[in-house]
Amino acid sequence: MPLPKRVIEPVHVSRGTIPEELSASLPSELEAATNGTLANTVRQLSSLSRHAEDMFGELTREAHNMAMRANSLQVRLDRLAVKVTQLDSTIEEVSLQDIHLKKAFKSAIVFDQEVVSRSTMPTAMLETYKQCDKPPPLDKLDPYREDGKFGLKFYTDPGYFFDLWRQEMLKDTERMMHDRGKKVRAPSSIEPGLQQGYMNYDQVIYQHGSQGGHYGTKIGRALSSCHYSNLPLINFPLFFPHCRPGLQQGYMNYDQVIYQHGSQGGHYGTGMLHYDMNAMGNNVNNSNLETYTSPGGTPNRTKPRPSQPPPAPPSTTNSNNSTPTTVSASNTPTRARSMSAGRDILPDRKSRSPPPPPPPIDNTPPEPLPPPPPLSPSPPLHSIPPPPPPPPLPNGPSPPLPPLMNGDLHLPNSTKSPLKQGSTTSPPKPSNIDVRKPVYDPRSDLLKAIRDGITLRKVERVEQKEGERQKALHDVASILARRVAVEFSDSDSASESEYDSDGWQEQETSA
Amino acid sequence: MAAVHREAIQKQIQQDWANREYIEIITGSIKKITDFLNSFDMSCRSRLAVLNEKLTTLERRIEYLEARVTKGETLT
Repeated sequence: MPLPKRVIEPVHVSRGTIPEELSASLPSELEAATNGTLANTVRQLSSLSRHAEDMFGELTREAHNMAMRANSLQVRLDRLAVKVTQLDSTIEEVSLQDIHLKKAFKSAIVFDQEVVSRSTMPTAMLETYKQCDKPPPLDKLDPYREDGKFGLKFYTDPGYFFDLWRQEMLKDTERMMHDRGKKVRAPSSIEPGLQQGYMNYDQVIYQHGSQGGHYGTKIGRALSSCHYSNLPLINFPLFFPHCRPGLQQGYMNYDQVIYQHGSQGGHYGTGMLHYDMNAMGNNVNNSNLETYTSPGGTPNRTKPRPSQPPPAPPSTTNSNNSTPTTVSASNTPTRARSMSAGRDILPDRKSRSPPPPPPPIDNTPPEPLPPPPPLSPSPPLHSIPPPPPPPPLPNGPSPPLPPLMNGDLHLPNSTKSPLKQGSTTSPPKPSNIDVRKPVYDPRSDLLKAIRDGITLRKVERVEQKEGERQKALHDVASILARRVAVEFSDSDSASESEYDSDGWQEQETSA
Repeated sequence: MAAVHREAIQKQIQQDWANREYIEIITGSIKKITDFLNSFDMSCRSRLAVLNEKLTTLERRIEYLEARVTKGETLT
């Protein structure tokens, strides 16, 4: 049914023009009808003029708004013209530090929403609506309701369908995010163990990244939920399938050390961050990406190997030596790469805390492979400081134990390493992490820049999230925007995983 | 006498018809005014809508250009 926007009243000009009580005494009924009709016509004219005034007012308001927009647009255009003329590509420098300090461009466009709500209804139509009967004043009974609900909403609820839609959309978004998390966990061909390890590693990196980069937002949330619960030491070794067993073990141990340390002293988060930071500083992003991708490529290999030591000795020659000792020949080529990557990460630590990190790892790796026999090298380690008891390893308890030994050695901080291997210079685990921070801070501007960027962006994100959450309750645009963002991130993550797997295959083939 | 009475009535009716014609003209004019106002309103709104569309497009473009040129100072 079409609703007339404006109604000119009275509609029937000649009806009821003769009052009944006067009909008997009227000298001329025809004149009375004529006069009454003329009077109603004048009323129509007045009504018409009122509507015309309202209509012109609306048009004027709209035109005024448009003029304002055009003016602001002109101002922006002028500013932009000045800016563009001053723009010189030769002068502009894109320093890494600036990039991190810069803030992302934020669009100020406000999209129209709820275009046909009560608030945007034209006044003429609003008057028609106002003529409707009002609902019974059920809201007066609200104080007597025990469940705290609004009594009027049981009778009429204009926002019912929007709430329905909002809940559905939010649920959908949550589900998509959940699914995305699952996808990340279980990339197609990777074993469950690897996946877990993959996840954990991602978390480690992404925790760092979330503060400074984009990765954190995408995957960090999904991973965070299951991260600590799944932390078994085994997972970490899985991250570096390519590395030798010894290295893997060392890596495992290192993680354990940090993990245990964190659990005991509550610094776990900081320790992880340190590790990431170091890795970032030395290898920039590439090393992390490599390690990140590696697990997907070698799912099978990773199983036998308990874990790769993330912090590998800096020297590449060592890796070469170690490769022959690796369990499987096929692994060796990839190991070399992974080793290099792992080393890149590790060197940071070692270089920070201990002066010379020799590549003793190579010697150790063969030992860790056979869990029981390698004891000979490891015993001193065990005897030394009590390495943090490795958490229960689901996959292979036996391999992890030796790796723990190695890992302790590998740990830059652990003092045990010097005993067995010169390469591993490690003070007590807990103290090591704390000590490192001050040491490597001054090292590189890159690291500083990354840190700064991290802090700045994190703050922004928190604020944004809060704002979005608040908006999400009432805002159609924000809900849709969030959904779109989730979908996009979902596709991104998928592409990333694909890319990673591809990269891994390439590595394998090249190796 | 009857003829005079009938003549008076006829006169009244004639006068009434003249008045009705007069009122018809007035209401017809009111209709014309209303039609004109409606068409004017529609025409104005359509033009404003076209203008609004163009303005929105321009705003998007300028937004894009600003994003391209910005050096990080747009964020408050």
